[in-house]
Amino acid sequence: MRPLATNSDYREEERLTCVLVLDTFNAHLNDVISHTTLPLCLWPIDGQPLIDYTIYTLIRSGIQEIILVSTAHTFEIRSYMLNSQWTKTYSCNIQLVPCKHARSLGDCLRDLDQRGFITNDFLLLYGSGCLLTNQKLSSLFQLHKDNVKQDKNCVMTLVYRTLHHVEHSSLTDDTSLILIKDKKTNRLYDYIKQAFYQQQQSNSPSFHIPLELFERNACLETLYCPLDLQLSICSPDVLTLFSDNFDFLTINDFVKGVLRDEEIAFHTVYCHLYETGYFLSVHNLHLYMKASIDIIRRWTFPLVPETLALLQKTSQTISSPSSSTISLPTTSPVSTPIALQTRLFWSLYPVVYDKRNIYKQGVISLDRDSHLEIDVYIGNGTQILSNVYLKQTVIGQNCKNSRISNSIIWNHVQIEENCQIDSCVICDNVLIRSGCQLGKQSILCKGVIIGTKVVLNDNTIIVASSINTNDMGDQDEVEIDTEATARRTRRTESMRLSDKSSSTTGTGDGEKFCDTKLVGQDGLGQELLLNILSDDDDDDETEQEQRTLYNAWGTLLQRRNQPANNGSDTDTESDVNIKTGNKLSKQFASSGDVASGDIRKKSISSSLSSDPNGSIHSESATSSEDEDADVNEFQREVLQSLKRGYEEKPRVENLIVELNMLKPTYVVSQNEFIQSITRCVFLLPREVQNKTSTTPNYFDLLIQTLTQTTVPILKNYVRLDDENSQLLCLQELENLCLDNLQTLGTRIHQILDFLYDQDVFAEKWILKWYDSKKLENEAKTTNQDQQHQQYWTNLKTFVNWLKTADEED
Amino acid sequence: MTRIPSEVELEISKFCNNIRQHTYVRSVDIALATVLILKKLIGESTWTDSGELIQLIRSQANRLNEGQSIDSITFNIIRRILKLIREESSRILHGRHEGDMPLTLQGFSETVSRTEEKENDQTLNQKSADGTETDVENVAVQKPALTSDNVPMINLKPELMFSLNEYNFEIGESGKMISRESIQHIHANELILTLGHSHTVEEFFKYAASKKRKFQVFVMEQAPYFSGHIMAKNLADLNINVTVVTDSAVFALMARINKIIIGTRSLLANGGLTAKCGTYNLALAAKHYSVPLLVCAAAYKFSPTYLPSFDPVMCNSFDSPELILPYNDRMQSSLDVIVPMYDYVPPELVTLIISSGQGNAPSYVYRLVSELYHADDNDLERQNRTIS
Repeated sequence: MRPLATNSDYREEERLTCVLVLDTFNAHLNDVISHTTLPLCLWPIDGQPLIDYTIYTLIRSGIQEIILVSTAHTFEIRSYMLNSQWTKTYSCNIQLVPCKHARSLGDCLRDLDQRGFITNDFLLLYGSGCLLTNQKLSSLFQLHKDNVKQDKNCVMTLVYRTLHHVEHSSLTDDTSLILIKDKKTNRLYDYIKQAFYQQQQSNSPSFHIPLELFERNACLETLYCPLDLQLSICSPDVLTLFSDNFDFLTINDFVKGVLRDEEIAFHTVYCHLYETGYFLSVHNLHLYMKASIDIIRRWTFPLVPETLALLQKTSQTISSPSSSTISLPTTSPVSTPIALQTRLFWSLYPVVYDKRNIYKQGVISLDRDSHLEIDVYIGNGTQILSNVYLKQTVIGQNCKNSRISNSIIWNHVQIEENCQIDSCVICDNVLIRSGCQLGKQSILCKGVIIGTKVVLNDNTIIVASSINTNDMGDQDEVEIDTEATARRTRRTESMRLSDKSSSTTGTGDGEKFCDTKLVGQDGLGQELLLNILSDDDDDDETEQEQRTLYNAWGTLLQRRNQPANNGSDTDTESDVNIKTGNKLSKQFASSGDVASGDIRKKSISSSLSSDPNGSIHSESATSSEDEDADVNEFQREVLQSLKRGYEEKPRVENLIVELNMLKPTYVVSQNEFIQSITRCVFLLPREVQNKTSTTPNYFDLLIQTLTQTTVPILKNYVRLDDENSQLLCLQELENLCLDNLQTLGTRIHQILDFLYDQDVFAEKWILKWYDSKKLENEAKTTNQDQQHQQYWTNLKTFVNWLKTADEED
Repeated sequence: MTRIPSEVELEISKFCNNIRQHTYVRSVDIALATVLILKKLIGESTWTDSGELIQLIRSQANRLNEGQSIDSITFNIIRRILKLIREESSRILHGRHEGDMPLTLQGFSETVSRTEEKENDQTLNQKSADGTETDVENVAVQKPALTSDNVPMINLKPELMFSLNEYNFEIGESGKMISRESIQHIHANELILTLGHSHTVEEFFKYAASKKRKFQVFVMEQAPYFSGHIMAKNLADLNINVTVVTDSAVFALMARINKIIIGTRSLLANGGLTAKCGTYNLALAAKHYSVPLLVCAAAYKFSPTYLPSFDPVMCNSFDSPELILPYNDRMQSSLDVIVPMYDYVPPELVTLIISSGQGNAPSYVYRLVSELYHADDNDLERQNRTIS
């Protein structure tokens, strides 16, 4: 049903494209999102999914092609888009591009570049891809074109909205930045992100402007905390730049990189400032709530609930005879597709606007004694009982309510009498029993029940204990879910300790989750702790770091430890290592990249080798029996050789000779030799990463190193006909996987598949090895956590595939 | 079921887009664009007879009106065209001589403009007499025509296209038609008050000025949109003596004013107006000083609907507070700002409505509306709502 014909005569010159990257890449927020079964872009804002507001704006702006890039929840987004009016009614061509493995904005854009969709200038909406605005964005294209006309090296125009007050409610910590630009041409000279943080940390609210800037005779203008719209107009070159520079993770990196390499690459970045109009890029919960209230207060006019509801309704009646065949699910929807359909039904009711910004959708029952103060949105089918007080609140469909202010409540929520709720987000199917008090900024995820007379602290996030891991073919989502459960259930000693040492928001304590204590005797749910950096997910620490720098509300988290900030050098990474406690032997290499304010922290846990440069990352302590120092030393040497081999690309034969030479130098047995080689092969990508501080996905890098250098080496030592070495190698791989469940373990099938394709492993040895494992596996699986289980299931599926493939042959 | 070809679908969505983007500055542009869309819809989609065509247009009506209120120009135009279809089909069915009446009626305003020299009331009497006759006839005649819904496309289409073209021309000329009246209403050395910017009113003044009539205009600036500034500038360019006054000065000023001439967004069936905010204020002051309030409204602004409610909130729409409180203000999230866009002015405050060719009292609007539109089409907006 997708109208492919584009109205080409509409604006003949050029097809206006917009790319929406629908992920905030904020790990905390994603954690919360994964418990609501809806991606942020489909979160309801005043009865409509958030993304509808953006698409409406884009269509208003005359954008002809919208490319949605989703990293998670692709299934939900796709089914929503297919059922929505947009694909049916508008000639605007909407494409959904899944980038499952993308872990940063850079990954998404690199993926787009590979697909080669984009040939023109395009609008890029990052952040969460959801921008609320009542302005038309089409003029930006012309603006960018003008910039390019003046300066043909201009690749990007960043868009901001001026705000004169730092205390403005639409500023959150994660958007604060300082711009230095040319007053006349708006050319960007410097870009300092995380200004607040910078100031707090360095105690010196100053930044330095390079002297060269003044030598250009330009009239400089500094902007402190403009509102970052997370919107930019990019030339297609931007994508290639992202592809060329693997270390560009965010727009921030990109701008810094472009400005740094200006002398070499001559690319320039411009910016544009809106002086009027409403803009809000919703990428954290604070802004989500602000957006809801602002829309109710009509700041976004003409994007107001009654207009959008009308829009939806009319198109529904025209376009879909199918919609009438779907029956409304009566009780709480369990599976995702039904849940989505109910959500689509939201829009079917017209919204009536009333005095004091009160919106009533469809049929609601309102008690005479209820008191709707101001700024309230009430969804269809909601029952408001007597003595209910509502202020600045959005209530979804089919709710029963009590006393609420400043909150957002989704569908099918029941709140009994005498509850006090302030500044909370309450998702679908929540039941709050009588007499509860919810603290500010609490989030109750899907299916939670809060017992009688429970008082919750501020900033509490409650999730239902039974997360239905919907394996709707969304790898990343599963990962997130398992990660989260792993955090709760498989809480190893070290994690608990780290948690204690680093609990920041005051909620994280090491005790077991006592549901009843938290949510009452008749409650259901447990607290979700957000501030844990998972220890075994250390392949891309800096990335992880950026993802976890801010909490779901967009406020800066207190650091675990205050990284020493020697604020002088700008470009060279100065690694300062601070040990956070001998028990953990944890190292935080914080690179105080001061000018960018981009503090990267590498948490490297190593049990044996605690050498300060953290060059070898070996988790061998748990796995291997007792490898003496010699083997360790030998491993280090092998790793170095491999790294050199990878970086300098000498002939593989030479490398093998070198490794053979190494063998007699250290006292290692043949078995240990093979184990070490295997280990090093899989540690190599991390090593390369540590060295260059570029952090693309570990897995991608692994494949890269494998294809480039290490496969021939493996083949050389682990011969297909040699049973012993094959089994040893597989065993070692498994040990590695079990140690690094997050990065390696869950990808075991992909790794094995790759190596099998490369003829490193022979089928019979894999099968034999697997058979030998089988018995003990089955014994183990009962008391293992989800990631372990996933490892086993992945392994199993691969082996099954291997078997069936064989039969077909 | 009739099919709409994809090109027409495209045109429709383009039209909706334009409405949404506020590409049409003047109301007449919206009117013309709507006629064009309907022409395409009638001309290019497949339908077999008049009944089917009416169904087709009605099914698209709400989509075309997307995001606009129920008294919008788009709805009015659709209603008018539906009426044209009914008239044409009944004319074809029952022969030329019976169809003469609707035809005269349809060219109603045109005839009037041609017979401009005639006495006003005389024309009125004649028209109203005609109107009653044909209405009775229409009801009687159209029932069989519609139930047997059989006027085939071949016969209907050319006739319909002809009358659509005529209607299109009529809309295009409506501004001019109204402005020709100005000589009768604006007398020498009068003080005239207007509110904000209206293309119709601007043209009205322009015509009078072109006839060397000397008069002075006071323009209320219409906060917070301040469209009055544009109006004042445009009039000053025509060498008309203009003064801009604040909205709040309207009462103080009213005693000096001879006449008020304003435009309106729409004209409701009871003769009331939904006009720019501040108009009610103005009208009350005018009533107090017994200053005549003249409203320029083209025929396509006549809506057969009434106010959905007497609650001033229900019939209004509210703009972004940014017009009053800048977004970058630190109080942005804590202050309540209300920006109504329209005022409802009850008919008893309106003296005269100047539409193409003649002036009418507000109490007469219901008559005109019943002549312009068919009674069956008055519930256009409700049709889809009940389905959903």
